[in-house]
Amino acid sequence: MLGWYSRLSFSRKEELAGYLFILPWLIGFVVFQAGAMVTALAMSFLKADFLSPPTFVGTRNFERLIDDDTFFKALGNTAVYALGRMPFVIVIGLSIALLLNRDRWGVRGMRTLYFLPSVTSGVAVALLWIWMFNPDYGLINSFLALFGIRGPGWIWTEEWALPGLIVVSLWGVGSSMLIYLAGLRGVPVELYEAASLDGAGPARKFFRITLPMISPTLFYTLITGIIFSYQVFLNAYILTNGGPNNATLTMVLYVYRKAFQEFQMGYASAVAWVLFMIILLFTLLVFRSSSAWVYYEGGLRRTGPGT
Amino acid sequence: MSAAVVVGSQAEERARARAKLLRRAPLEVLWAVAAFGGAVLFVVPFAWMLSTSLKEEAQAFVFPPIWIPDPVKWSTYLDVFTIQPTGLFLRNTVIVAGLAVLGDVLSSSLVAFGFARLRFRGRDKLFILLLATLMLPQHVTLIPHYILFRLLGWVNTWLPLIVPYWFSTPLAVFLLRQFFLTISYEVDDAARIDGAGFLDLFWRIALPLAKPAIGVVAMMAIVTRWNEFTEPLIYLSTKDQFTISVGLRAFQTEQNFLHVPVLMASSTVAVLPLIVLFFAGQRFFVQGISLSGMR
Amino acid sequence: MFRARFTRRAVLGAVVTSAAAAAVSACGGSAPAPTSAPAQPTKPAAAQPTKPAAAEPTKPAAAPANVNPPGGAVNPPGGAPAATAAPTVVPVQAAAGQTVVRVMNRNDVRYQKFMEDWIKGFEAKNSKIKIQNEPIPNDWEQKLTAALAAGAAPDTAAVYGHWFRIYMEKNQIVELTQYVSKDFKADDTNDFLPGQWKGMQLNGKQLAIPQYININALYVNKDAAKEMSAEIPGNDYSYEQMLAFITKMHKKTGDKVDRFGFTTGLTDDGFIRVISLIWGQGGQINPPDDINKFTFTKPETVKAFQWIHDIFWKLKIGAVTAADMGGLASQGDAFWAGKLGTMFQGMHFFGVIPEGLKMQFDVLPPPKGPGGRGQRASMDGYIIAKSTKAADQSWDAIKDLTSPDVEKAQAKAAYLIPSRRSGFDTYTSMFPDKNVKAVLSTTDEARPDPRSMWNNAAPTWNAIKPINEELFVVNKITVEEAMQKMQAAAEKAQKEG
Repeated sequence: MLGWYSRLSFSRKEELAGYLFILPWLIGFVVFQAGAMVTALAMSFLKADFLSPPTFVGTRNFERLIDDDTFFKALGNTAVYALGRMPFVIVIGLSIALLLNRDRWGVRGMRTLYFLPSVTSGVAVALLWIWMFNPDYGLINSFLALFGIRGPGWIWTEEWALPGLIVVSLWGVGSSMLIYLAGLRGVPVELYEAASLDGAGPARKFFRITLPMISPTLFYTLITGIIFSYQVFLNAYILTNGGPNNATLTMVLYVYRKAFQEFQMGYASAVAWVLFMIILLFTLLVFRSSSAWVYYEGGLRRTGPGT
Repeated sequence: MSAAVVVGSQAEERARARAKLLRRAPLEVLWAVAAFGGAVLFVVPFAWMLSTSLKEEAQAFVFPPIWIPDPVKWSTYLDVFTIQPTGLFLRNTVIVAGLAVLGDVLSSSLVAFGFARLRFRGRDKLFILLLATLMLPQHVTLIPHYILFRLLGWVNTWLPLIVPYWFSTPLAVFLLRQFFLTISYEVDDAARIDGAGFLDLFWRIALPLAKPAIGVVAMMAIVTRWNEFTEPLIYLSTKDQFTISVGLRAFQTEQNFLHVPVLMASSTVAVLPLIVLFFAGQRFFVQGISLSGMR
Repeated sequence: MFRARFTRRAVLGAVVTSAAAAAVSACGGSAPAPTSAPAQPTKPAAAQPTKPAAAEPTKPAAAPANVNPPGGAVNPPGGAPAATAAPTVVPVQAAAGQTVVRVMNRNDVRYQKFMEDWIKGFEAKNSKIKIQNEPIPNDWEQKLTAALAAGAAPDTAAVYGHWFRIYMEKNQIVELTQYVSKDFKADDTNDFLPGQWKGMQLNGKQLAIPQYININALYVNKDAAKEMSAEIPGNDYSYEQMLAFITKMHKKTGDKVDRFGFTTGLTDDGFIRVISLIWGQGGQINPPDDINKFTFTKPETVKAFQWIHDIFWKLKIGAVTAADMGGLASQGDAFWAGKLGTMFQGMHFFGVIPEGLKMQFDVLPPPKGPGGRGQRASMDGYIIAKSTKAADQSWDAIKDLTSPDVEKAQAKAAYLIPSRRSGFDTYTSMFPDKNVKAVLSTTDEARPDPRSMWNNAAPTWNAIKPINEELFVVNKITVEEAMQKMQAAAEKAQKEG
């Protein structure tokens, strides 16, 4: 019955198997994602609210963006947030992972402690941050005061509200830590032993062995970091609701306001697609660059002709 | 004679060990300071939640805060379970999150294997497409999704919160792909000569080697599913269906912070299972790496 | 070494099975989409007995509604909860001839207690109606909008704020005028508060029925007044007297403020409280004859804003944000903690007075100025969704929910001010030592929330709110500049869409 299969060349077999392996995603994409995405794309060319009959407006929604100061403010805020946050997420996440990448008594508990903030969520966390950020008594400024630094007014000032949201997000760095830990644990010990025999110091080992070996996980955190930093919503919504004076208005918060408060679904979709294009652009750039710095032990085998 | 040598070498060894220990001692102290210092910073939110949950209400407003409640009021935790059917919410969440994550891990590892280790036309473009589904804010696809699930008759059931996850999720696929890519092809080739099929390569080689990664993916998926708020809010309407995040909002509505300690106790109850799971589950995603020698 | 234990067929099989498993459950759930059910009194989606079992398809709506779900009838149709310590929730199951009415309402703990009691009472009186209780948190906009778009909205919903008008404009809600003229006598309509009642009408059409009312009051920290020997004004006090009083209530040692004299909502939606204080001083943000024009730049309006701005930035006796209030999240918390001498806030804080609160406080009605009390009526009411198949039954539910007795019960259980004057005594008696009666007496002149009257209300509100923050929180522009910006922003937003 599968005679035809055995007559296929190996690369054909591999190709068929490849499609079969990704079939669950393909089905899910077609059934659950594609329709919604196409609808959202269509919406961006409509004046629509899902409640009354839509009218076709061509590219008017996109033209409107050009005169929309609030949109550009949101765009700028989001870029600052994403670019400001990314380096910290990677450096802090990796540092903690390196710190906790060892087997000794208490390390498991320690990892749990670092992971705690990334599992707690909701209104309780919002309440927490309101006093953490208090300029006079808050924990953060009290900490800075130890070094003689007078901390700012954080989420209640125009200049520091956005950095404040970055600080909040860094508390959740535990999930990146987890990913790096898994990456670090995959680095074969023999490599370090060999390097030691060659007289390599810790710095050399880190840059020559650790970094290349965990570059696949770095790549993952970089890409997902871009995607999620650009889509920051929850903290901006719960903690500041975009204020003061739209200083923390992010793209997705703007999409939310337009779609669900102002019933301008078409315009909201246009904003969303601009955001989509920005994220896609950054993602593709990182993907392009990856061959230069991401090291896969197995090697990323190029696909056959036609890709 | 020989005994003397042994004794001598033992003493030597002990001395060497002591010297090593001494040499390493400052490093160890540094490590402890850094690790503990950081941990204190990270544990503050939870400690504060826990402490507030055990306070009498009047104490919750004292600022700067009192860290050790006096007296310790445990009964708030009883309230969390008696005022609201919190036990039912927890049970619902275990079922919903459990089934969603099970499907997610199973399907995503298949898909990730396909993207990572098999060559087929359009693979890289399809992979970008998979990631692209993460790039559009969910607010603009929310209504189309709702209409779809309404047509399927899934509204006010758990199906919208479970079934889509059985078709893999981009994050899990991506992370697993990254780990599958680090496995050397030499093992594959050897296995293939022995007549292994693609499913063997997946099941007997890739999966065992990627065990820690699967643990990480599962843990992260559980946290996300457990805390998910928007989906259950949108798709579930009646209390008997509610998951913990939506159910506990009754303690948390803005206008009606029904007493801060109850709010904190309910939040603690909601995350406690995740914390226990993380602590207990670490052997699966951090400890199980001795296999790396197989490369 | 590796024997091919799995054939290619198995590969295929595994993938197909996993897909099929999901597909099967999908099909089970997709059985007869209930939307097209012809003129049946039963609300199909709601009548579906849902069973809280994972991945188990809901029972097809085509089946008789009184059949229990597969897996055994755990819950009797009457829905009597089992006697356990923990509260139980029972899926709604309609018996033959019964109509299910889905009611979406507040989900806070106290309110839900009230709902559960109300449902029991209502169903006892109306044997033909089953209520499906759908509690919803604050973040309800997405849910209701998505449900409306999909034609799956609850039959009736409690909607808060300024949303009726847009739902009416989008033809999403049932006009209630007919029902009102049929079932409400003059005694009833006059029992509701004129400002709130009027605010729920558009071009003579009744859009919603008031659920409860929230109004503003000046909260006074009595301990602080004693400490500062500040005499608490009587109910009829002027803006000048208020200023003198809050100045006296302000306490500082050196540069450090121990207690701010005053605060009100300056950030985000809190702006609505500021507008009340503008009205009271005779300022207007809309001309009285045309709600869709704006008068931010009128001299009286600018002067009134300046008066408030001076409290915070010239006299510096007002707490601007939570940062000034000792890290407490809400102004209420700061007030209970004694960090505020007074605050101009909604009466809803009476619902969250902490247990065993030691501090003594009282409330005053808003000050009396050239513009009267400037009182504002919140817009909290019930609507019926257009998609309902049970409009009459939904009306029965709303009529009962807003009846004098139920309004009283709601006040008692959920600490909400009744939307009917006849319920005021009940509410007043709940706080015998507080000046609640005087505050409630200002409801007669309470004006509807302007956002419920504007065209393009949400874009307009979202456009002017940040400018309010720029003025009061950031304090980088003058009042005149802010008023010009607000005027321009509001006018621009009116044309939006």
